Amino acid sequence: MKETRLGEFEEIILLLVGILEDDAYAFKIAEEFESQTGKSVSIGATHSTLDRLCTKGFLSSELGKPTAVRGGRRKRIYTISATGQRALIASKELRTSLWNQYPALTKFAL
Amino acid sequence: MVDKKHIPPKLAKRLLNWFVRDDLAEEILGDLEEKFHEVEKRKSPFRAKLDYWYQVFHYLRPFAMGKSRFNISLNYGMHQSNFKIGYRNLARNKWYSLLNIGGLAMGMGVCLVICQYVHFELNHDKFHNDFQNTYRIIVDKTQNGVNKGAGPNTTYALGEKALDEIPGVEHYVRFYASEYDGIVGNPLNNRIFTEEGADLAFADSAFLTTFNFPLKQGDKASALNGINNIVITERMARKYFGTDDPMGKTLKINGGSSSGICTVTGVLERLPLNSHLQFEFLRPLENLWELGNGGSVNRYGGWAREWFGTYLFINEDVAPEAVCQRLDQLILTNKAKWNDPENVVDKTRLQAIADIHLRSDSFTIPDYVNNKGDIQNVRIFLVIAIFILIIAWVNYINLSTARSFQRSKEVGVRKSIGALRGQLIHQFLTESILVNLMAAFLAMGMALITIPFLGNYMAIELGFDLFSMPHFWSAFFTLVLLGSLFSGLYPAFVLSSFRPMGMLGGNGKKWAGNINFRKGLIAFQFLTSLLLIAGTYLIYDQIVFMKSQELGMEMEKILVLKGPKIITKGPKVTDGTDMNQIRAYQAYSRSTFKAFKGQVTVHPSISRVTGSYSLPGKINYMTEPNIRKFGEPGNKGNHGRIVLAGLDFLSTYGLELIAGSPFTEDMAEEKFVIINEEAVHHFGFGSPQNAIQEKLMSDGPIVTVVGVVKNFHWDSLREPHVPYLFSYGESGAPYISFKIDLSDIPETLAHIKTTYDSFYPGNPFEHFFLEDDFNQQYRADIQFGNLFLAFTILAILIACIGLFALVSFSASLKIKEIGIRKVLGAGTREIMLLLSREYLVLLSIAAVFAIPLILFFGAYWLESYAFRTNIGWDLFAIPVLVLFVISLLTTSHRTYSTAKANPVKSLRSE
Repeated sequence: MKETRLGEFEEIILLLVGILEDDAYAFKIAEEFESQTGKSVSIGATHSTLDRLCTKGFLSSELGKPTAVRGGRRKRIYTISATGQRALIASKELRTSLWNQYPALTKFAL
Repeated sequence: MVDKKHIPPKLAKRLLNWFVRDDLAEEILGDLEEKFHEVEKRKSPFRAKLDYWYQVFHYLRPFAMGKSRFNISLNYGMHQSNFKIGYRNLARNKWYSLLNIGGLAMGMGVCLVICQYVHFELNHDKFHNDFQNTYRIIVDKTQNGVNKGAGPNTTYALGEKALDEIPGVEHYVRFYASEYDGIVGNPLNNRIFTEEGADLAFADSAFLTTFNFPLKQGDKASALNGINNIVITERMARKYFGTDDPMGKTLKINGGSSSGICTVTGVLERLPLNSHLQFEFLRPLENLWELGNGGSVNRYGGWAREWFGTYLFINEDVAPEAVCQRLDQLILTNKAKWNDPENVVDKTRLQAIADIHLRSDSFTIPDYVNNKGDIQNVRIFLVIAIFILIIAWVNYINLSTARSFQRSKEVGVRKSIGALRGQLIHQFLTESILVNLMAAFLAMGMALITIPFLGNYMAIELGFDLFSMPHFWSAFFTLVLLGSLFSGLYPAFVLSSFRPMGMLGGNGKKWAGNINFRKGLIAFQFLTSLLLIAGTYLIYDQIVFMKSQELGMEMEKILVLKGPKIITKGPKVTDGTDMNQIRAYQAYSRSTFKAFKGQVTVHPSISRVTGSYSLPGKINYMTEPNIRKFGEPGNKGNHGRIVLAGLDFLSTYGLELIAGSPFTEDMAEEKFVIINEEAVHHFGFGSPQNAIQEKLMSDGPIVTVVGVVKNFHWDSLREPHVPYLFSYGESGAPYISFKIDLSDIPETLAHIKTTYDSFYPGNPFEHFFLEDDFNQQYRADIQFGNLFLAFTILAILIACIGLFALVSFSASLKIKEIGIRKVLGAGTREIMLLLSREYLVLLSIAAVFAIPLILFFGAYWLESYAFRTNIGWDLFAIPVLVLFVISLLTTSHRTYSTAKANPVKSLRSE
């Protein structure tokens, strides 16, 4: 059976793929990660995670159009699959339910 | 053209292209290029390039790597096949495999054995619990700013004071090995033997609790608490008590710095051989200064006599240098009374206990440690080990490439059915690892067998402790693997570079690799062999030289009897500090000795008899630091060695008197001296004649010079001539020397024994011939020489295997040429010469390189000998000749059979 749990980094990457939509390819995702979290990440690390998410079935990918800035090379655009969508929602629900049970929340919510 | 600045680094790109999976290359390169431009825009082209490299390295991940690049090494089936083929190849050529594996195994075995030896030498005294923080105090003496030597002897009080006043000193232990032999006896069963002074030791009662010498019987904490307690070794327990329990029994000791009856309170297990402290009997130090002849130590408050080895245990947070400074101050304030008038300054340093064994060589003041090692020998052996290992691998390279001819067909077939070059290299490397591993296991077996013999021969305890350490084995096998890779790489590349067409066409010799490379390797082997042979020759030459040197004294036909310690009749000395008692005792023992001498020389085969306190070859003379002409200030003194010797000493030992006269009977003991030429020179007398009737002084009594003898070699020729003073004194001499006629030794001995027993009842009769004893001091040199010889023979043997391979190889390459030459009328002799010429050239090249190396290292080694043989032309000529003959013998069979072969056979085969 395939591993279907989401790690934290994986979850963020998955969300970023969703945010970037048509622009979701490794370099852009890495850039977005840096600007959103303030932490730097190599393209290789991002790519390897994307590759892993594909094998888990959370993402699908296809080659896009070549552009001049890439020296005429095509890029691989990732899109979230239905399973990926479900995994994200499940993860979010788990968190929400946990936050709701967290007593400190009511104290500091003011 | 695009500006070079604005494109990503080419090399990084190429690297990425090499390792990355083909289907990913396009998108990755695209992403990286985009990133590059992005960074370039925001920062600088340089930062962009740097970042590009960073990104490329971050793509070194399993998912992105090309399967075809990295999968060969993971292919189990291919491995299995490689191993199988390697094994079959070895099994097919048994003779070749034997040479190859045997040579390698021998090299590795020697390496293992030497490693164990070096490990033993380097690990002395590390079995003590706190050895890192244990130090021995060494004192460097200077007088008027002139270095007067260093030694481990300190005063009694230094350790005590250091503990009280220096922060960081946690405790101290003092040790004293007696300078005098003693007679030890068990009164119950009358087992009486003379024991060497060095074995009769004294120490603080904390000795057993601080050092890690396990007790078999007795209690560590209390064993040395009573003044008459004695702790003995297991060996002594057997010697004196047999199978009886020695605990609580008594031993009677005469001499050995303190006489008396002692109670055995502990039995030590056998002392580890890697301990610098070696003794058989241990008594508390209080015994020495209360009951023995350490009384003067007590009288002067413990700052006058430098007799004791002091060990300090220092808190690890404190720097030893800081402790030394405080020690120097302690000496400065407390020892001023003795040091100042003579302008002597003592500087201390701390010697780590683990350094004592190998790094105590330079002390000019005698040390009580008598199993010192030599760091130089350890280094030399280590270098030999490395050389032998390299020779063995060089050999492997030679043998494997030499066989390339035979294997060219195999390679051809493999290549023509589609083997890649990388796969072939892989195959040959696997074979190399296989051979090396087999050799390594064989070497382990060899080492296990040889090490006990070596330990036995060198009288050291060579255990297998190195071999029980896992990290040694991991290092060893890493080395073996690295070695097999390096030695396998060259043959693998040569073999895999063959072109299939040429090889299958039977014309393979053209692709036999770079013959010059292999010639270089053989020349290197020749060079190493030459160096080793020259080393062996030089060592033996030096030993022969030392043995044949005119010693200035005769040691043949001298029988030595260990002198009496027990004198039953006559006046007793009850207080070691009462001079009247001592004088009465001395007068009595002198007259007894005179009567003994008179009676023993009645025998016709005994020509001379003399008593002395030391013997040639022994270092138990007294060293007096401050001898000078009478009347000269104390700071003008010089070192000198004093030997108490009796009447007829000069004539017994054949010392040649060049001025003055020998001792006469009417002289008072310890008042008259006979000195050697070196002393005449050192003390400033000008000429031997001028020295006669002059007076010398030191801290002891003033003495008058009555005679001067020629210089002589008292001990090993390692050291230069030193001033010697024979001081007249024979009462109670520990050695009695007889110049005898060797015609009927048993009869002469019987006569001496009956006379001795009637004069000195109750003393053991122990004797030896001086010559044997004297030659003992060259034992270490001879041992070193023999080991060197053994390693040399091994190295040459291994090199011969390589040479044999080279000659076989070149013979097989030239087989057609030889055939044609023979058809055209060449004789066997010419052919043999043709085949031999090749390595003779290599030998002469090696000889040319060897000469400066031999000169340099030979001179370096000889430096440690004050009297040394000359380095002559024979040192170069003999090794070359030896190697020439050995090479000729190795190759002659091969060259002869090649030269004799029928040319028709070789010419017809195609």
